[in-house]
Amino acid sequence: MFMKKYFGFCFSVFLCFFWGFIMNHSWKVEGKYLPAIGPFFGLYEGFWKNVYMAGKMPTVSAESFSTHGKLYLDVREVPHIVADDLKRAYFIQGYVHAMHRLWQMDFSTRAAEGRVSEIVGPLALDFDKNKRRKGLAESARLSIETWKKFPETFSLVEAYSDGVNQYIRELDPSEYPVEYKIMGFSPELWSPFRSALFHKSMSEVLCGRDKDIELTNARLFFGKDFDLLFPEENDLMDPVIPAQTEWAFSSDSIRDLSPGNFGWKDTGIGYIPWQREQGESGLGSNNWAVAASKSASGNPILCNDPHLTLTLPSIWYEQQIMTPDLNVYGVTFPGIPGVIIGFNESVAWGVTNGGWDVMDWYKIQWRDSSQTEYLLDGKWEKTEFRIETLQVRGCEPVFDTIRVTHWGPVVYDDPMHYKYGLAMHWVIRYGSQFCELDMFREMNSAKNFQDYRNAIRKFPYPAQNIAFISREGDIALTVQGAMPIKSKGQGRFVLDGAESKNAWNGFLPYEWNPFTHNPERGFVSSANQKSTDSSFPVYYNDGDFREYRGAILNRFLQSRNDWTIQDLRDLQFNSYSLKAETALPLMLACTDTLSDKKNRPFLNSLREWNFHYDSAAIQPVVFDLWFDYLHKLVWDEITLDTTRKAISVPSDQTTIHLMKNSANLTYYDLVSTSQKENLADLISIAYDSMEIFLGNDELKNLNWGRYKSASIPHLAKIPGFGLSNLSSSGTKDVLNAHARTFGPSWRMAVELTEDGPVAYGIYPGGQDGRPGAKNYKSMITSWREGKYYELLYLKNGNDPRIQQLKSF
Amino acid sequence: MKFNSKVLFFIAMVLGAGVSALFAPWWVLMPVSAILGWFFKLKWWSAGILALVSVFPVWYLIAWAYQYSSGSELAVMIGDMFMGLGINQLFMLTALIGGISAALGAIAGSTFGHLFKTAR
Repeated sequence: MFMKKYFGFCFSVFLCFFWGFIMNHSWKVEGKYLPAIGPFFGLYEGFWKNVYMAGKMPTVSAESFSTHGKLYLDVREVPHIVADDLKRAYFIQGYVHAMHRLWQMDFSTRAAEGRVSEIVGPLALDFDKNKRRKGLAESARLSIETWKKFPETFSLVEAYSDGVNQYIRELDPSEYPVEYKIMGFSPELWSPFRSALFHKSMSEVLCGRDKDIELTNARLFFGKDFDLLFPEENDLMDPVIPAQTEWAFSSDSIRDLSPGNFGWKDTGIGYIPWQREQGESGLGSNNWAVAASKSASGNPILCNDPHLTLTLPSIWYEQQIMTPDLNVYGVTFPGIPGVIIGFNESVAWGVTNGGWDVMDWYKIQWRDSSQTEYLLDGKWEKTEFRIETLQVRGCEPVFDTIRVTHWGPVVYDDPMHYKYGLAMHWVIRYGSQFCELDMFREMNSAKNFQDYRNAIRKFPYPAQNIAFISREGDIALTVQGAMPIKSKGQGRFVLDGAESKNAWNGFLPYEWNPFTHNPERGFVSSANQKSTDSSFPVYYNDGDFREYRGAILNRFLQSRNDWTIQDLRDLQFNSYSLKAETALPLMLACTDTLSDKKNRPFLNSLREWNFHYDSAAIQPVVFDLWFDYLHKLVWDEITLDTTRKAISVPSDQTTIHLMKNSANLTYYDLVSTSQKENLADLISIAYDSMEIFLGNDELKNLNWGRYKSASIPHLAKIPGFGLSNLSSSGTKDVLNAHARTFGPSWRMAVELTEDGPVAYGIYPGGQDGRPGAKNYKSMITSWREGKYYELLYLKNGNDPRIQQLKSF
Repeated sequence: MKFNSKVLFFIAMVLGAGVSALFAPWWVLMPVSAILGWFFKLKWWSAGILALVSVFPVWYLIAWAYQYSSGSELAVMIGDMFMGLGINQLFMLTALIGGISAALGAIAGSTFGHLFKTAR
């Protein structure tokens, strides 16, 4: 009897432990870890606690920063910080960043460091290896060394970190943001290094792209036609800095550093089958400023809408900081102290990406398969080996040996032959003589044009078009960044790493960077187009230039002299397509000659189209599909060849230019048919393909918004935490450049009036990064509709409107 | 007496489950149930069933209260993450996890108590 009882007891205890094990274990399904069921569903420590907390404002312990200053939150939970000095203000900024965006800050910097495998397991190994090979963490360490040389600034970054850490320490594990519970990790303390890492990850997004490999492949494929198909200048070009601007230096001053024409040199590496994911092209940001003489009110107005990959939580975070020395409002990056884009009583500024190619590739010739030596200037140089240890969840650590050469890390190996590799030479491997964070700090308190010029010269990369207005009436735009001095054509293709003469010849002094101040036309603008016309004395090549938006933006701005802030806000939402304006008449003219195409409903509707990519319109769907089919057919030599994926295809713009000017291009002939096609044939075939596609019953009720089906995924792509099937206007190459997952990440319009700044802004998300919280995605509907919020700019800590805010 | 001890066990389980759910990790429910199971010396199956039926509604109600006091969409998002479970299914699943944990704890406690109980 006792044995039976004993067995029963043992069995029940076993069941308890077994159940505990099952519930506490994070099971792996299809390579992904599920949260441990027990803790996740537990009412005290699991997601229900987050459900409960999401209904309330985040926990704020006012005692933790009461000695530093006061915090006020408005209805959208925008913090208005009042402090006696900047150090105290940054402490509170760090605290509120963590309060609303802790997981986002933590995860994004771990990703930049190449540590995602620690959280999600082997699935992220390639991602991590790529980050480490690119050397983002190395570069962040280099920045920290520079920052330490500026003790005043460094102490501010430390104060910011202390604020973040204060919040982390106050958190009970049961209160961790829900993503930690899902992914099974805990927050790490913040440090200036992580702020530097965040800056590097933004640099990777903004200046970590190039086309060198794809263009090298294209040059090999197209031969002498290459220059026709990939021109560096074109008839649409309306550069950021107006033509005829006088430069601060002449070509004589750099003749020794930028000699002659580099041109094309075949390195002998052949076709490089490396397919890189670099996001969609043709998308980007806008900024412009109109002078008092061009505005109806007589005040300068500045607008800025930086376009980035859209995620929830949003990359931006609104904030106002008030100290006795500054009063600034704008958007910040959770992870970095200060305001990045914004305004104060005297000035306003906004940025777009400069797009210079600051990442070049060098062919490395190894001595033998051990890859311990490579050729440089006729000698065999020793390779430096750096071993990276990657901790991988649920597995043994993985070691990745990175080979570092004179040019930088070798990121690509020729799969056909051990003898060749490609080394990456990227601007972020260079230290800076300034602390880049000083640019934001000084811009935040700038009072006039000179302050702006002094501040921005401290920003090395990613190169930005920084537009500016001041209450004094100045407008300006500087293309700011470290510009490598290259010879003409240098760095457009893969370079030979066996010759040191192929290196960059230093950087242009910042004072010589292209800029315009109070131009005659009364406005400054940028939309990621080329920075200057060909008169600029230094060669720089196309990292990521696009011309349609810049051209249409300048056309609009030139058309009036009575701009109001409302008109300019509308312009940010404008979806007029210059591409459609130039291409569609050519396409329609061709179909008019074909009897079988007359009176087709789609064609009739296109004839009445106003070239706007409105979400409710069908014409953008028809045109987009038709043009895409046509583009594929024109370049069928490469688009339909599955063995050649890593190759640049001539741009839409070049294709339209050729359609207009080259009636008998050999590329119009389809390689898959025996007869000889011409452009009209291709337009007709493309039309038929489009009509067959749209002829499907289910697609008859399509409109552009539904067809484009935009989405804003969660930063870690957690299902259900993002938004999908969003109907919205806009497309790439229009001012409202909104593609599927990429778009205006912040829209801002600021007018500097005598009574202070009047400003409007919005971004697709919400201040509170906690999924399910009231302000997690509260602004998305208004953002999609092109609406704005008036930004509450408090004049100081005694502003009577402060009484209406929640204070801590 | 038996009836009373069952009622008392039920009440104690409700209180124990409620307090532990609000202030302690999920697994604490098992030792709490085990102690109550040992203390009340009910038959193992009786203790198990009573623990299940007492804790299930407590966890269900607490989860429900969290959801309806906050009005947050988070539970819907979590449901999406778990193959599109609805909120009610999440309540049920949560309650079931609590109930089973309590039942297993109570059975273990009860069987432990019976080890030293002299047969009449």
